Amino acid sequence: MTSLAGPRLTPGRYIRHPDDSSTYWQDGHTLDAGSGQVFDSNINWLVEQSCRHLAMDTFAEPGPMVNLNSVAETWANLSGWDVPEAPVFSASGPDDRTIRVGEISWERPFAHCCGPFVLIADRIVTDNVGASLRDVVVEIDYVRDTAPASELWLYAALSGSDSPPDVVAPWAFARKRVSSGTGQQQYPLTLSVNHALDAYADGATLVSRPAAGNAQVMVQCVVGYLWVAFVSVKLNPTDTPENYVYAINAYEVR
Amino acid sequence: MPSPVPTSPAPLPRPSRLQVGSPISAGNAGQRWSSDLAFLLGHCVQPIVACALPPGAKSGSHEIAITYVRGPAVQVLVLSLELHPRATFSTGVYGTCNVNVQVNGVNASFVGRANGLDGSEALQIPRFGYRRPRPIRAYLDVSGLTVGNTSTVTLQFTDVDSSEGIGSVSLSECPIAVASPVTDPTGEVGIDGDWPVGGNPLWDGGASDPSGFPRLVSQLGKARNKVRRHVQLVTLQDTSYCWSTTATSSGALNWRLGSGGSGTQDPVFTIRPRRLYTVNDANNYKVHYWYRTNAAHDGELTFHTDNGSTPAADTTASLGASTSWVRDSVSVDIPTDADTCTVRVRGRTLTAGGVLYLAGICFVEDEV
Repeated sequence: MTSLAGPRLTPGRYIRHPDDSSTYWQDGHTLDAGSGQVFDSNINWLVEQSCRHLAMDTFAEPGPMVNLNSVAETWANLSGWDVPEAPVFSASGPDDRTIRVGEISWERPFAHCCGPFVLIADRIVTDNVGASLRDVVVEIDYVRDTAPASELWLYAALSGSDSPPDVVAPWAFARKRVSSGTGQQQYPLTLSVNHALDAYADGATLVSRPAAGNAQVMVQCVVGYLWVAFVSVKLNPTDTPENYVYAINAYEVR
Repeated sequence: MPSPVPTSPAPLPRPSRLQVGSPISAGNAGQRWSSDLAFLLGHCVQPIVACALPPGAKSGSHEIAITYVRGPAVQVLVLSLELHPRATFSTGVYGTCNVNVQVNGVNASFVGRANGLDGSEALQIPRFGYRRPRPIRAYLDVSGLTVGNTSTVTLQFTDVDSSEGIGSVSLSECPIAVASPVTDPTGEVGIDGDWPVGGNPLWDGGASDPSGFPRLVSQLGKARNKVRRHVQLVTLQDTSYCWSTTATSSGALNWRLGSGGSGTQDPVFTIRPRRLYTVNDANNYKVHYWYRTNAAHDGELTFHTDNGSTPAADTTASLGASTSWVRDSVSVDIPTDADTCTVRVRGRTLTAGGVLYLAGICFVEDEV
């Protein structure tokens, strides 16, 4: 079992039943256990299927990324944009996110921060006690230029802060170096938080109601931010490859 | 008695006394149902939109329209937007703008401070050179919207002095901490927490009661077809910055992703369907789109779905000519026999010389 969703009847699906206006539910008798099993299974099935779509985005700015190993040249054609720090890649070595989040400067326009999102911790993690956040898949639709040759580096991070991931350590981080394949492709970066969250350290407060009435105005929840970035690298200093990230879609999975 | 809304499914033991032919126990089965339905309806709320917007609207005014279908428990939306930064500020250039938020054409009702998003204050745009986003955040009261109806949240931007437009927007439903079905059975979600406690009888009740089997079934139904995923992308309702096509044969649009915002691109969007029934039953969506045309030229949009399993399919929507921005919709089925489904949005104008403009697409679940 990978989530806190309870057991479902086989085969797993929502089992159709009479709606709430049916006299079947209002005959003055107790509910039989067979109907109870259907209720139970259906609720658990809806919990199991309750993963959500978080973001749909494009990189409408700045268009293609070219010539990144000559930073000043790269950005000179982006009217008005500041010149970002040059990336320092670590293609080999340990897969240490504290190192690799620092490879790029997470500056606009090649980095986006989406959110805030209300996140849900109902995925069972095996290396700790308790539940952790649902995984987030960031599906990146990109175009890699191969004539001339180039590389595309894709980055994503899930964080409890909207500070850049190299400033505040994210909960999860993933990257992909695209050095093969040509044309338009898609690649999923999976962000997995493999530790149980600290309800005190990772919580946030949002407004939930316009007025108190008989309920609380504020709600405690886990709020997260999604960072997505990409960097294009030409392999020959004299080339001018053009790489694009067209679309980003982020959704929850378990 | 208000019922707490848990932030995750109930870690309660599975029901152990569901023996077919016997009356059901009021013990942990009822508690699990009450708790998990409260979670599904009250805490597992939906992000509505989260996307960046193109720079360029340096003067004048424009609008950004966000489509929203209210969930059953939602009272408040959290809106977070950034303004595009500016590289240089000179003497007498302040970089300010106004942003006013409307819901269904009426100025929005804010919970707490509007933080300038009611258009009452000139907002200062940030300067280049920062990395952490500088969002302006406010909470919108949507408790008066009818659950399930399609609404519009509009961001009205007006330049005051050398500003650069809205840079990004995020809108999300806020969860609730507690539900009060006893005091407001019609407006509140969930089940009276007293009902399933062990020792109390599980009675059937009536349709308007806060407990009982009809209530249980109605809340189960809301969790199935009134909690709706939104998959949305918006841009400026401005013909200089929105997506467009002049082609008379259906194809890729100019999504403004190419050099200088020119050319055509064919982005692939990915949706992970919610499989409710069998793999042969699609996840029903309705896609809402904001469009206009340049003159009396009709247009057409095509939504191409492909999950690599079910044969790829096109859903075509006919767009009547309109020189003002309008919203329309068409039903699109997302197949469920694969984990994900890709969607491409293509279009054309039906007449040579026509231009079709598009400023927003929003896939909203539409289960019945």
